[in-house]
Amino acid sequence: MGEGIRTFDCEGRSTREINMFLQEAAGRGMELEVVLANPDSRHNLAVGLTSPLAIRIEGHVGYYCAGLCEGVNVQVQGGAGWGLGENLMQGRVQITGSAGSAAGATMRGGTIIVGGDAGARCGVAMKGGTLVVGGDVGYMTGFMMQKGVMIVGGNAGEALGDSLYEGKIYIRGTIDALGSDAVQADLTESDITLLSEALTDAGMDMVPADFKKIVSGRKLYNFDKKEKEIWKTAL
Amino acid sequence: MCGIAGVLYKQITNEPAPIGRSLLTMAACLQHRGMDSAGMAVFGAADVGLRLQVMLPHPGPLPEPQEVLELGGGRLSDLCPEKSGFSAAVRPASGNSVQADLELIQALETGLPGATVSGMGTRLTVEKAVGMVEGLEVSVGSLMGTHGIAHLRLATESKIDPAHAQPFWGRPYPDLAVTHNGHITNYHKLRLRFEAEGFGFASHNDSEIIGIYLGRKIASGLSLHEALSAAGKELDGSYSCIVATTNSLGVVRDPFATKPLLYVETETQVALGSEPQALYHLLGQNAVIKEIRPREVRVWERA
Repeated sequence: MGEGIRTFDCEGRSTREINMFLQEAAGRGMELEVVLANPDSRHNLAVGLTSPLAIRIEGHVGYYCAGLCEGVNVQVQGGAGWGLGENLMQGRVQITGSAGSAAGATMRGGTIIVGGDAGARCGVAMKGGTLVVGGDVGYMTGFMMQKGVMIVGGNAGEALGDSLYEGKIYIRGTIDALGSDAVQADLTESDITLLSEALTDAGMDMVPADFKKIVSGRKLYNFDKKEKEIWKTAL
Repeated sequence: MCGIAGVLYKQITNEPAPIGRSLLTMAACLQHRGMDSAGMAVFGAADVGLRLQVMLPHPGPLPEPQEVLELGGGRLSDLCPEKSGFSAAVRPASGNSVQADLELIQALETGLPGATVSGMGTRLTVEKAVGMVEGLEVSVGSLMGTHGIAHLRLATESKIDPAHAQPFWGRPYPDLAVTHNGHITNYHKLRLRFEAEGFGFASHNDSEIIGIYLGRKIASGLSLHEALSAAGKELDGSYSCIVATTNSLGVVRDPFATKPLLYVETETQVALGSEPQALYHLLGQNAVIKEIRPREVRVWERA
């Protein structure tokens, strides 16, 4: 049935050529696995794919890898630059290394897994899906998050979950500072189940009970602009 | 956008390192971040005595040596033609060297219309070119030294010519060079203040304020780390900035950190760059890349 593995060497090819190859392969369905060799930290690889396709990238990728995709399964053997899996609708993006700023920004569905650390504004304006980071996350992670689940195995920088509307952030390590209206809540049985499944899926050997849960305090839902204290703490 | 890079060899050895080649390797990877002009500042291993560099507006006949020496008021000697102008040895001023050096710069730039004093120091060489990084191959490719910085410019608010290209030196503070990605939004306010104190500017590029700011702070007795911390508080805008002095490489990033800056530190060297591929190409695909955090100040000194 399957067409097996097709390898594409990125060296000497334009990013457009690489992405056109992927578009053409995606049109033929999941039975095909595509391998990209020599990605050389190039930007904009595997973007805008809206048909299912399994892609393995052998090396580091640059900015916006697997952005604007729906239904892909992208595995990166290395690190990524800014905007990993931006606006992912469905599917799975997994990298073994660290990601730059704004990993999973505005994602609406699917799963993004970062093996190492993620930079500033990780999961900014998330609208769904699951974002798992094995290591630390940077400043303003989860800023204005609206829905979805974020799991952080390491520590967080300042302003974690600033002005989040909804969604859940689970974090195992320390938090430099919570953002405006981000509050800690108790872990429930369903949180433990969710964490257990997500961590197993991500291949991360961590204990769910070690995590803290951060949610919206919902004070900014009815923001009174005359409240001076809120102005003082607003970023 | 703009791309910035820096490299420093941590150990003092007798073997100067190919800093020019390292910077060209990184700059080539960052070319897409800015194609308007390119520039590099390299610190040589040996003190060659105080020299200044003058960029002339177009390649053409050099000014008469006698004219340059007269404009130098007896402080210049050993004139040497360079690719983009000339360099000269400078006799250190007695007394207030800041004032004397400002007067020397002004005399040269007024006396030679269109000329810019682009660098001054005992080890510092600054090279700039309009266009792509290949324009620096000849002037920088073989430069050996201990550390240096590079810039690829995407011009956003001042004109495109060599005088507006980065890196900028600490005019008039010798052996200090700065490169930056971002905008200094209180530039005009600071410039007015510094001009009132007698400082001169070679361009209308906001980046030029940083070198003068840091030079002024260091001259007042602050360490490079303290000067960068002060800059982080007093400079408004979004910026990632690398500064090089005689024996150090330092960085500062604004609190919102929207301009990237990454680094790799090994036992022997430190490399900085806007994007990972510059670091991987210099140090190999297994390099462990870290990010300079928001508000972070960091200084690497040569041992």
